[in-house]
Amino acid sequence: MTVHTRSRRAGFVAALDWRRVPAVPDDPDGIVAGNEERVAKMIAFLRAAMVPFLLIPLLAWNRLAHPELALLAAAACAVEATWFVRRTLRRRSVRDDHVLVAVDYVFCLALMVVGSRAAEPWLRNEIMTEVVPFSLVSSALLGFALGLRWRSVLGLLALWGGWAATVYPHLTLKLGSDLLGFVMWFLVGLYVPRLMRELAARTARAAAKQRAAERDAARATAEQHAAERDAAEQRRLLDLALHRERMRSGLHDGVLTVLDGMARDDRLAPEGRRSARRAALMARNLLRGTADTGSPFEKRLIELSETFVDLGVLVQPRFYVSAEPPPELAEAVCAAAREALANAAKYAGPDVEVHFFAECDGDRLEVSVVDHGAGFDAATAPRGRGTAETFAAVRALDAACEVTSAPGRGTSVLMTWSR
Amino acid sequence: MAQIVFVDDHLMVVQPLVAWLIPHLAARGHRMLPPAADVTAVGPAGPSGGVAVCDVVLKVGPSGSDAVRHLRGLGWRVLLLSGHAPAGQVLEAVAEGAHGYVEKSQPSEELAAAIETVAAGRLHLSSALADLFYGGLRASRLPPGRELTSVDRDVLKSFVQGRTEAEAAALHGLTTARMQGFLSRAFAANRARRALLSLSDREREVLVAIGCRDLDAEAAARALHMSANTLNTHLRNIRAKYRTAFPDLAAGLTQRQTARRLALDLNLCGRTNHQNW
Repeated sequence: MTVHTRSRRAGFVAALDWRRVPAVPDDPDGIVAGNEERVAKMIAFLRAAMVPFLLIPLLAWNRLAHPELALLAAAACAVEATWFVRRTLRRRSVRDDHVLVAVDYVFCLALMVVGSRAAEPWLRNEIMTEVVPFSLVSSALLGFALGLRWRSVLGLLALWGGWAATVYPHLTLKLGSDLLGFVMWFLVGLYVPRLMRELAARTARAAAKQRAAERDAARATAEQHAAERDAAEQRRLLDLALHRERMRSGLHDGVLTVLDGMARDDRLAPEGRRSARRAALMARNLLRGTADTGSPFEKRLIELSETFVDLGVLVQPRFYVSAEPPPELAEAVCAAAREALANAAKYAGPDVEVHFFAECDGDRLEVSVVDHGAGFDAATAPRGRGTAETFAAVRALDAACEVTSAPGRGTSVLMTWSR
Repeated sequence: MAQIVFVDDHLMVVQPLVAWLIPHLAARGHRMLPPAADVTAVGPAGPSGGVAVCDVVLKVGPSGSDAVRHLRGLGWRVLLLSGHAPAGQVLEAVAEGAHGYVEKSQPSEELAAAIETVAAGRLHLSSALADLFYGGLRASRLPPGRELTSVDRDVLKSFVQGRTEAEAAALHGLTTARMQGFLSRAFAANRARRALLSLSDREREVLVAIGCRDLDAEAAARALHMSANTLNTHLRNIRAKYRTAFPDLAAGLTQRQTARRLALDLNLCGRTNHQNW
């Protein structure tokens, strides 16, 4: 056998073997499942449509040896076909339905035996002609449900044997036609589902490909929109940055120079120099850009700092907040820092800088208010009620709060907490 | 006796400051030279050395780290001064060899003390500079052995909190020599940090084109007379350096965003503003 012949045979087998149709994993539209339902309906229709053939022998009632057997066969066929149709419609598929195949197959063999016994031996071939259509569906079902397998081929051969045995002894040339009919219906039962299942698989794959293309297109569109938004945001940020840079440049070369010059100009009154220095400090804090923070705790610290700068205190803020402290601690620390800043405003002196420091990484918090002003004797100085209460509130949350001061050497308030 | 010279183009600040400092420094044996508006107007330092108090941002001539390099080449110790300058530009100038940095808002007495410190050949760490060092320390990590120890970190934080050198030394029990050791390590750590971000002249031009002028890659390459591939290589290198220096800050930044951030931080757009816009 040549290679060419072998390949042609392989192609012929492949054309009949619907099991070789690849599965389609991505089928949300149910194209493959819908096709299986149509295949099931097709074989169910065939089964139901062949029942009326069984009524024809009843027309020759008087010529039959056992007309009641013909009646029984017709009734049994109607019952079996009803069960067949209901089962296939309920399951929506006949593929690999071994129960359906087995019941229908055994029923057909029984029908051949019972149906053939209704007539005299010389009349069997004629009476069995009406049984052929119903039995051929069983042959087709082997193809529809089992496909090209050894068990379906063996089933076909058994049908052949059963048919020849039941017709015996009335063997004529028609037997060849009947047996060929079994083969052809088996082939139809292989070929038609092969075509339909392949068409469904191709359609499902095409639909999946289309969906993927649509998804890709949608993703590309979304990415393009995102890129456009990003580009617009980048332009906005650049404009903002350049605006800030111009502002910084303007403040540095203009406003800050004037204010720093005024702050050092001895011809001005001390109050005027003080105001200039305070304004310069405000401008520097603005340039430092601390207002950009997203931390609520840091925002509160900034607001606190700005409040006291507005009141005339030269507050130097230095904040490093990478995580939020517990809310009750943040509340207590801010209240205590407010008191410390208020004390610095009252007692440190008018031209004294107050360094307001905070660092928090979530597990550790440190806040300090330090000045080099007048200071006080911590041992003898009376403590205000607000100071005592707010500092005690900080300590109540397992944080340390230490006040260090000496006359002429400034004051330091240090609050520390760790988880 | 040391010579003192101010290099600053903001006469409104410099004149009253110099007027106040002349008798103060003269009493300590120092001689104040006339202020200069740019570093090219400054001559070499005398044989006994001198301190150049130099504005970080100068409109004319070399500015920032270039100005520090120029002055050091003339034998001056440099104390940087600014009304307000971007952090990156200050740290880069300090890394170039400046002995300290103070803001113009500082009281004249503190500025005089800083000049005295630098004139004596020592480093001066102001609260403002400590703030910048501390920010750098939090944003990036140097390899072991080059980074500050936890004790150094606490000492540095004391400066950020507004404590003077003497207060910080007393607080942490440091002798004068150990405090000088800490200051050397703090300045060295800044130099090491900035070395990670060392940019070539060509990379700076790319930063200006992309980060300041917002040119697209093609236009930037054309303007800089280089191929698009070369420009992209520069951008990749810039981002790689920024990521190495500041891994946390650089996370998620595109090449263009990195260029923009770096250009602003190094104050490269300020001069571009004057020249191109």
